[in-house]
Amino acid sequence: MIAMCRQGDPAGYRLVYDRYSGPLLRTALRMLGRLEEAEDAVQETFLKLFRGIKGFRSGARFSTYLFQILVNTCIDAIRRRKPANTPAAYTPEVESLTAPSGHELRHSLAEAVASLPGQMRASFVLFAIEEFTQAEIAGMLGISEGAVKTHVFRARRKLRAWLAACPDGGTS
Amino acid sequence: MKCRKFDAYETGRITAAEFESHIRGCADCAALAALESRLDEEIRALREPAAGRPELWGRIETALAAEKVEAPASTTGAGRARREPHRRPLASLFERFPRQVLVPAGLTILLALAGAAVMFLRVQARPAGILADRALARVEVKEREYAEAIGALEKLAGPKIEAMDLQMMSLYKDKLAAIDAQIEKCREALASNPANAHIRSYLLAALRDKRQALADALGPEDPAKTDGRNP
Repeated sequence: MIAMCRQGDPAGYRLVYDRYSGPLLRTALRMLGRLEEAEDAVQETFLKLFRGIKGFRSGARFSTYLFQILVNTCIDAIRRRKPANTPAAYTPEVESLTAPSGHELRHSLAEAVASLPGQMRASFVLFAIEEFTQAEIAGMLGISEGAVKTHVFRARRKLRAWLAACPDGGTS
Repeated sequence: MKCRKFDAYETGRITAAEFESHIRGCADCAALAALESRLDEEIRALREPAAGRPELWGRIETALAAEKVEAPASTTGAGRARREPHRRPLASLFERFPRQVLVPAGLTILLALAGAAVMFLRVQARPAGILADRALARVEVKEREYAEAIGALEKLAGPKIEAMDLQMMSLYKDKLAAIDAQIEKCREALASNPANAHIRSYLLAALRDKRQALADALGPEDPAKTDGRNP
């Protein structure tokens, strides 16, 4: 599959798509919160893969390489949403989210995940949903394992606070 | 909630068994433990596969095909494969003359062309996009000025950023990390091509962005921001 991609063979990219599009799209969706944006990020990931596949080291894990491209693409997309030089356009506090009820809960939890700050969100999604190791995530995001651990820990704490604010709390 | 046992359990300061025995007598921690298992359940549900719209692959395929056309055909195997069915333009020469004649003749022509190219390049001025020595020196001075301003601002802004709330801190750190990555990329590219005007301009823009981000983090009391000097 990788050799085919290196040769620029569309069939190779189709194989990558068949195997990874589900998890890639899920991660992009959790990161960006909107299907259209998630699809754009997946498309951009394939283009970046096409441009950079020759730099992929054969000993490395392909899925890690692919997700690294995706996550960076998503982080870029999040940054593009903000006007230039205004990093202070902060993500809303978990406490300020509208507490959902019943069947809306799961969808709203996804929204709560998508409202976490950039690296915290990426660390949490890759660790808790895609089940990458902290070392792999650290490599993907260019941060230390300790930072990944802290991000995941804080993300869980925020999501727990959010869940507690739901009408049915932790009881249903 | 005043009980701190859940924090202790979460950060590994007490064992699961100790925590289990604690929650039998602590309603607050029992509620938190229930919330924690509920969160685990909900997170598991987020692992359900996501499905894109059916046309997604079509979009990707089209984008890849367009990318392939834009990329130099010689850089991909498929590009080579596409050219293979075509008859080579010099094929008739190979059929008419023996290899013993063609090879030395070809080498002579190549050497003559290479010599001419060297002569031509020597007399030409620097091509567009390459900085002359004096311009390069000026740009390097500018970069040093930015680097010094950034160094000074980092000392002031660093503690301020660390003292910000988590979201603000993450946003500033994310932004500064992205700018640093861009600076690093430019410097890597410049190592092999130091006079490239385009890369130099990208580097200057990144340095300017970093200086601005640090000044923003500092707020209005930042002297570099208020005296209007550049950089």
